Amino acid sequence: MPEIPNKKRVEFWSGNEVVAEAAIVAGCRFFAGYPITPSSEIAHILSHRLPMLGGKFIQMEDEIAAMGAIIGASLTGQKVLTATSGPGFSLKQENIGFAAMIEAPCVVVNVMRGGPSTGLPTALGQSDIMQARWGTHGDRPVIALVPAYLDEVYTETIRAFNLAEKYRTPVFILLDEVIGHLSERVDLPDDDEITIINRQGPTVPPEEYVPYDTSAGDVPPLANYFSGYRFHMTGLNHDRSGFPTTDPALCQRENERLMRKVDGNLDDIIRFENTSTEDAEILVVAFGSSARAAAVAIADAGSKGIKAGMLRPLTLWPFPEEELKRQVSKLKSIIVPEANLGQLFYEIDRLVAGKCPIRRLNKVGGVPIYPSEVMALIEAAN
Amino acid sequence: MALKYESFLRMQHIPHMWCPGCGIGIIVKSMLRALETLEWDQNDTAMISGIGCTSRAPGYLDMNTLHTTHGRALTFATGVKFARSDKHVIVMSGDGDSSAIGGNHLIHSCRRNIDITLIIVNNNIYGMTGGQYSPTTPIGSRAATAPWGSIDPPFDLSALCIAAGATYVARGHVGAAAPLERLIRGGLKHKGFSVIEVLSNCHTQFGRRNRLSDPVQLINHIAAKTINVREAAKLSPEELKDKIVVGLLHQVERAEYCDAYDQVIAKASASVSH
Amino acid sequence: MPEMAIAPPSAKVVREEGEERNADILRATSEQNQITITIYRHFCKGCEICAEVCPKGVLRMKTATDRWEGSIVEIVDLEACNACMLCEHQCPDFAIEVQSVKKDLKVREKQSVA
Repeated sequence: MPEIPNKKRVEFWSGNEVVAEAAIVAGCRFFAGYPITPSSEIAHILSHRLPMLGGKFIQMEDEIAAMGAIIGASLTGQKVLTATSGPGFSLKQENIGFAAMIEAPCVVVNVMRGGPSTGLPTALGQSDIMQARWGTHGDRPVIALVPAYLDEVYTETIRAFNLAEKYRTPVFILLDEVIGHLSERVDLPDDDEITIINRQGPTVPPEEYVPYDTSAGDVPPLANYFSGYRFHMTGLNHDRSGFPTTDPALCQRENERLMRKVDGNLDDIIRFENTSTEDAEILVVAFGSSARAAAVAIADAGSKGIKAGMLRPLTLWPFPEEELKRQVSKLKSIIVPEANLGQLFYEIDRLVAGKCPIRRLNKVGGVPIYPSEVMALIEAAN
Repeated sequence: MALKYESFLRMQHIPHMWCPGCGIGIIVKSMLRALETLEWDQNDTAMISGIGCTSRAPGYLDMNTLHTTHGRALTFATGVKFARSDKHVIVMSGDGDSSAIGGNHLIHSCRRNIDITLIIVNNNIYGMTGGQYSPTTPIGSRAATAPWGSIDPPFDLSALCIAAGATYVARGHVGAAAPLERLIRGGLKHKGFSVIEVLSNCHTQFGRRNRLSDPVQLINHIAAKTINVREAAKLSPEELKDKIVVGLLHQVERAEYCDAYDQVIAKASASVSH
Repeated sequence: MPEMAIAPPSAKVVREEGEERNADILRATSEQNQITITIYRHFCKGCEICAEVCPKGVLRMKTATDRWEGSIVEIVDLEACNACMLCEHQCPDFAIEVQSVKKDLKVREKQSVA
């Protein structure tokens, strides 16, 4: 457990509340959404708070419309947010891909619940993580953050907005029902600890403007609508002018550039936390509420003299591959506890490539993973 | 001497991609003539579309343009307009784009009465994708997915929009461009959700399969079915049975969505200062 | 650079200052009626709508096997034109425009009275 920090402002909030409040601090003034358990509290709070700040809240007719509306608002210069859960996340995929293609900054919260399909609306799940990675048709860059403790839900929400603005791409915050609904002490960062990043705009006058000009870097200087710069954006493959193209070389170049926005900036985007990994022989890799349980087990194991540690991604995608590979050689076992039937395991398995045995704990009944269950695996691996 | 319409066009992409004789060009030009009289700043105007032949229109227009996903133009337009209610937002959408996959967004935009102008190009077919039947294809017509003749009853799109709450609904057709310009201008000026349904000709995909493959022939065929709303008022329902009523069909005043939300902001902000 | 749309192979350059390099423009003015008809031949797709819709027989389609459209509009009776504007309004392709001094004056009159 992290030690209690000494901050000026301390609150007792639920995870969903934290997301809403942090979004406001990050500069979000436009929310469009659709009610879906267990994310609806984010909408409830923002429907109340945003108009107080001159911001806009709209409940759209469906999840797809909510995604479309936030993209439209983003293009006018707003920092935008939507929140959903599994079924809504599925519906949003086409427009998520559209946002990635036209390079519109936006933040999408998925408070994951039991699945598949209608699943367990009021219980936790972690089974949308591969969907976050691969859910849209076509190749597009992915940034997905998985904070577990509410302090970091706050800071990672702000970071999500910053990443969206900086890289002009959708950013996911993947919580789960437990994190969304639990309430705990939240020590808010002091004002001077908060950095806000805003999107870069054009540096040339309208007559010289090329919307997807990437001569200065992979992130294009897109102008906001109604700012005097008139240009076209389309979900079709397009060239630097923004107009459709079917030229194979141009399509290749632009699609690779999209991916490079993330792949070429891993140091900036990836964050993770190591607990007791310096001399660990057993490594737990977990995220979200599963990691919270694993943390208790790790501490317990330590007190019993078992050399167990945890690599906890804060950025799930792109996955901290290098960090995992760095640790693998000293390990005799990796444990992956998750509230799905083996999605993070799939990624770890790929990266470990047989160098180390992996034990799985896959719980999809809607009940959180218990520290004792992780402990049992640690002891078995020892 | 420059082209009259040139100030509105991205000339580097003209001639446009629509088939020879396609009504979409007629509709776009009518809209541009209407816009010229309104003297809106192109920097303050957004043109948004979904997918289809009609949805290629924004690419040719020198405004803030966005070509989105199939059926979802109104959702993006809602986001743009709701974020910047001081700006002009126009949506162009085909019959399939707006009433099939986009049907839900169509009725809710009407319901909200958000100040967006929607021009529906109703050519009774999915043209771009090869001539499949749409929710407005007449019963019995042949289409790529109805080789034995369509059995699907068609929507009356204008009636649908009126029922859903749109506050300006007009229907025109591509055989009468000057009246169409007036109907579009009325919609652009109207504060609230305005729909101008335009009966148009897809002789390439619809017409070719239904013995109407010449553009002039198909436009005349459409025009012959229409009757002006004033004339229609004098006829009995039996006499109107196979006719399509055109003109300004519905115009009322109702609270506009962005205005209503501005009042929410006023109320919410006032509560903060206590 | 944005891809140029396909230009007709038979484009003949008849341009005034400020007009595009590939322009193939035919302009005819009736001094008597003070009406100018401009045909942007490089935009015409030979759909025949203008010739069909003209109530005065001003226009006709000419077979043009050297054009990929197969035909192009030509002016056969300029003096018959009364600037009804139907050809311009009904052309889908920005290929024909009609300018009438008398009509422009009328419009300006209306605007100043309004």
